[in-house]
Amino acid sequence: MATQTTVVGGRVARPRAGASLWADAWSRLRKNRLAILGLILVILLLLAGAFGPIIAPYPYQVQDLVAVRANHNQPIGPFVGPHALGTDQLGRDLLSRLLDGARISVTVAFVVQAVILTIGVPVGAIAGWFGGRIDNLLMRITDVIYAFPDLLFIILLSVAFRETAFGQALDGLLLVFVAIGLVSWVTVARLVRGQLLALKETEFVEAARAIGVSDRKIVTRHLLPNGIGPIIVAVTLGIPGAILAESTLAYIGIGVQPPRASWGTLIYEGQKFIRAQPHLTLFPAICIAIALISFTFLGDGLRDALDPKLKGKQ
Amino acid sequence: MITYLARRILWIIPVLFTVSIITFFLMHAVPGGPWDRDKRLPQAVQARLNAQYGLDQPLPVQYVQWAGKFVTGDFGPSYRFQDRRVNDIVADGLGTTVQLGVMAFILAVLVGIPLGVIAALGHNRWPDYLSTAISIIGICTPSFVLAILLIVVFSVQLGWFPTGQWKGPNYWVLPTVALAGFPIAVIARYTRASMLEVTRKDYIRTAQSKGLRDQSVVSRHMIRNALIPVVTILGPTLAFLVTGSFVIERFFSIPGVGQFYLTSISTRDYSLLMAMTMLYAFSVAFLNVVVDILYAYIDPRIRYS
Amino acid sequence: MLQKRLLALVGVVGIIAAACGGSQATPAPASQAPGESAPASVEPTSDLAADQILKTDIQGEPPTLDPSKAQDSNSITVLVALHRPLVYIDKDLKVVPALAESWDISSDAKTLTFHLRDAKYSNGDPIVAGDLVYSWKRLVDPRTAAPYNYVMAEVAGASDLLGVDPKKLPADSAIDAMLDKLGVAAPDDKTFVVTLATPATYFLSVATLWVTVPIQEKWITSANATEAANYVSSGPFNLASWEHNSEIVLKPNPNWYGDVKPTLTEIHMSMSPEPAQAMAAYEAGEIDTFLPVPSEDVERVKNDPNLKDGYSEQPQLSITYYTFNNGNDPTGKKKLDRCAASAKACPTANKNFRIALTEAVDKQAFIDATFSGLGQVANSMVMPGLPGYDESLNPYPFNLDKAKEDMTKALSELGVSSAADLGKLKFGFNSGAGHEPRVAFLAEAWRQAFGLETDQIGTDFSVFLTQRTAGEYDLARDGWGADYPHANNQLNGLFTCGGGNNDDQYCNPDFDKLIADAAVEPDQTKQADLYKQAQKILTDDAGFLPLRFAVTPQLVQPYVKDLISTSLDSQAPGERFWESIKIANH
Repeated sequence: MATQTTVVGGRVARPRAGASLWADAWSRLRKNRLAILGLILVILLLLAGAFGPIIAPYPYQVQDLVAVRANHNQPIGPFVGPHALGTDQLGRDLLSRLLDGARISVTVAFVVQAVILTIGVPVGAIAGWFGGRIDNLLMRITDVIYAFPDLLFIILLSVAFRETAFGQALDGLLLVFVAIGLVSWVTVARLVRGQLLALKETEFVEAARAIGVSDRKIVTRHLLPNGIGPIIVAVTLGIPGAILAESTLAYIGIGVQPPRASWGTLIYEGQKFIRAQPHLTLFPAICIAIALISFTFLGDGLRDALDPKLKGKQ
Repeated sequence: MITYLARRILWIIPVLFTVSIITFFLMHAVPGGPWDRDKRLPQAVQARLNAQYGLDQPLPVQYVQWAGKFVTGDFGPSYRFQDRRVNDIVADGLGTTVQLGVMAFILAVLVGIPLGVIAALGHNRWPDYLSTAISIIGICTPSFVLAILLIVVFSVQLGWFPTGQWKGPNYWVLPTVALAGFPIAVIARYTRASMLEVTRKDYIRTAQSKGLRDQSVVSRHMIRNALIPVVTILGPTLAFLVTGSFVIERFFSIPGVGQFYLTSISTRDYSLLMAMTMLYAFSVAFLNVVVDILYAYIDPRIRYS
Repeated sequence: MLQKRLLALVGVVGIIAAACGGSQATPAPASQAPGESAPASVEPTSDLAADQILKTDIQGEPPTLDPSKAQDSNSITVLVALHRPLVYIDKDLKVVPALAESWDISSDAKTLTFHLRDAKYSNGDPIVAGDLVYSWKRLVDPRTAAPYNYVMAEVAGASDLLGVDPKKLPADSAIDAMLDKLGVAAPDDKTFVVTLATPATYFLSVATLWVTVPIQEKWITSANATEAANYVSSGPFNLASWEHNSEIVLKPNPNWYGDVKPTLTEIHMSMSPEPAQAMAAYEAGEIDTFLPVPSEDVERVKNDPNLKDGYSEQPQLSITYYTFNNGNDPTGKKKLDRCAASAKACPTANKNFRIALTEAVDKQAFIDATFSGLGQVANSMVMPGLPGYDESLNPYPFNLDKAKEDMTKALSELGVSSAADLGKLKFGFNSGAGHEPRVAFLAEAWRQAFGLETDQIGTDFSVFLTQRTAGEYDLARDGWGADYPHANNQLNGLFTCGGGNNDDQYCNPDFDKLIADAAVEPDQTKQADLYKQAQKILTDDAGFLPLRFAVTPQLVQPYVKDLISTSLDSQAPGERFWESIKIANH
């Protein structure tokens, strides 16, 4: 059946097609240039992660000791010779290691955030919505986890499980994800709780309750999307945080073992050379910055796109 | 409100208790012990030391002994620094760490919030981009890199500040800046995000349509309500800062207690580790109470039953 | 926030692990080792600065300043300024008189009689032989639990005390009775007699250690004895102040009996756990001397006109070596079941396999790449300059072709067709101490040569030690710094069957016999020869993988004069002879 068009004051008024939140969001996202840039960068990162080793000029563990020796036993700088971004002190090509690191960093970032959101959002929502004793109990549990010596827990996890299938999964990285995720979900939980505490007293919630909308629908359909801003920020901040956290863990022996390296471990190894060969620290930091920028722009765009207040504004 | 406050403060006790039990049993479960050295101590010496420190007793007994002393304020002898008691170690360094943390916190708030506000007000224009760039640098630069850069530029090359230690106001500057780098960036991001949220709220549009001058709209309504997520982040930020940034104390040779939180794990200095953990747990729990109180103050819509 | 706390660990664990896990502090006689020694020019006294204050850094807080209980290098560095034993070393690491002005050794080499000079403590009390009796008894007393008590093992009656079952400690009276039987006596205030159970020809070297200094009972048993306010010293300096975790200040001991009186009026020792910060402090003029210059900065320092005059390289009595798991455990306490079950589960137990691995390593390239070229190639254990050092011992030099031949032999003995069939060997190391490039170098060398894969396992220091001791690794990082300049210290207990520091699980009875014989051989030349024979057995067996004798890059401001570096220096340049240092006008 053809849609009816009406002419109002000389302009055709198109009736609004049934706009779901997500379709509406997507159309707004498309118009946000920065967000699209962020999306493109994220896709590039994912591609680097997937195909990195294939396009890398050298295998990541091969050592070009001859070249290093010729360079007074110093790491080779960027933009001279065949190593595009230089090498480390063993002559391993930095660009290739960055590409291998992309794989690890991207995986850690996504999986850890998934764990954090899966645990943190529901816990925070329940605490915020129900309030009272449930809120109290859940918040005390998060207090305990916050106060907890994460590192001890992580060392124990790794030593206990390293030899098992769980510990070997994904080159030892699954252990890393679980470890980081388990201790990091509290911030998101508290954020969500904070948002819900504030929002649940607003008028439209009272109205929805009066109509008889179920609690769950109110939370998932109305409150969460409204309060999603800081949560998106937490996620976008959490990604470089997870990458840096993973580097620290690798440093104490959990996660990616040498000779593989993630961006974080490359920064850590490179900081010793920061005065003479700053490129060893600079390039991995730039990679992390790119990851942060891309997720930030994408995140900002998502937040804008999902804001129901802007619904209908084209 | 008072009963709420009292109840929250009382809740700190079981939280600390739980943390202490978990930490105690965890740290004894990890392999290795306080006497591990590259040149191994003779077995007999290790066994004797274990006996002297009560490590040869069953864990629950050790826990009870520790807890009994702890509640009277006796943190026990250090396993690593055998001539000293943990009380003295903590007393020596706690003031320094707290001072460093508070200064960094103040700096982070003084710089971070305005940075976020500017970004939000100048949304998608150059103030936003600049602030975002600064935030990104702050987040992506690990604090040890920042520390080294500050030392190299301001101490070695310019000679404006000393490279380390903590002997006077001159020594405070670089460590505070290095410690505040990451929190500034985080606070700026959160402030910006929640300010942007709030600008779209109905009551702002109402206020604007009522013709209230922009400035008062900004200051009274926006900032107050945008502060909720920020206050949430301030709590853990402050707790972290107060119990010390291990990296900063390390890289600037500052005699605080922050460094012990991590070294006590790797040296298996059990009593020092327990003391540091309890200190940290108490700070976090207490500050969370403060944060919740602030929530209620900032947003009168939040009611605590 | 997790990430910040974890980031902190990055720095912190690294430092701690570096202090404990690295092989530091081995003395080596400067005369035989390569590299320059520290400038030690003599300055006319008129050119001395008005302020004789030395500022240096000792890399961390000393866990204790109790001489009997100290074991960490930080503690020892300060203790050698505060106390001097009966005998001491000179700049060539030869034993010279200190508190004892002379000594007699009986013909059976079992009784040493020391004649003490007139000397006083910093509190004015005379130093008497009875104080030595007290401190030596305290050292072996099981109740003290002194980590270095085993150096007394040869003293008559010591083995009973050292062998006391710590779980069933006898009554105090029983312990006191055993202490009375210890072979130390003070017939008068100026004579100290030591009776040994077996002739120990290296015992004079042991007597130079910080644990053998005289201690007043009334001092060490008083409350807070080791705090600056109460400290009693017998050496050239006394403890003026100790701000924990921050700074130690030493001032001259007015009652110091030595020939060289300190010119310095103060020594300030900061405690920088991060070498990059110490480097910056030196460049900013906040400290006058420090070591080690981080290897990443060495090149820059050597080319910097402001820094290169202060730069020097000092050989150290310290060796970097990696262990092969030989699979021999006479104590039965190690976890070697997998070796018993199948030979190919423990390939390093096969001699040809170890030989092949040794021949595949270009040790000079290793030093160049991972130590900035600093260090001397090591093919055996006893360090250069010590009797028993044998430069000719090198049965398996770097030779890739021969390595592949030997590997083929080994593989057929193990019953596999290629190295890849062995699976991934476990290669353990402690993370955060800078070992990653070295482990990576070796792993890659073996991968290139044979296709051998290794699982590089970096863990927290304690966990690493526990696993290495239990024999769970096939290959592991290790090292040793000499406690006293004698070959016995480098072989006994490290490669003897069931030895306390034997993490190679190496056991060869012929080796043990030679070590035991050498320990009682009074003739120095014959003794040196016995140690060489023992090492030949060890290196022919390829029982371990020696890599590098340490050379430490250090920085000493040109206006610091008469600083005497030795190969025993571990925390600060010239630490064995603080009293000789002077500051020139600058």
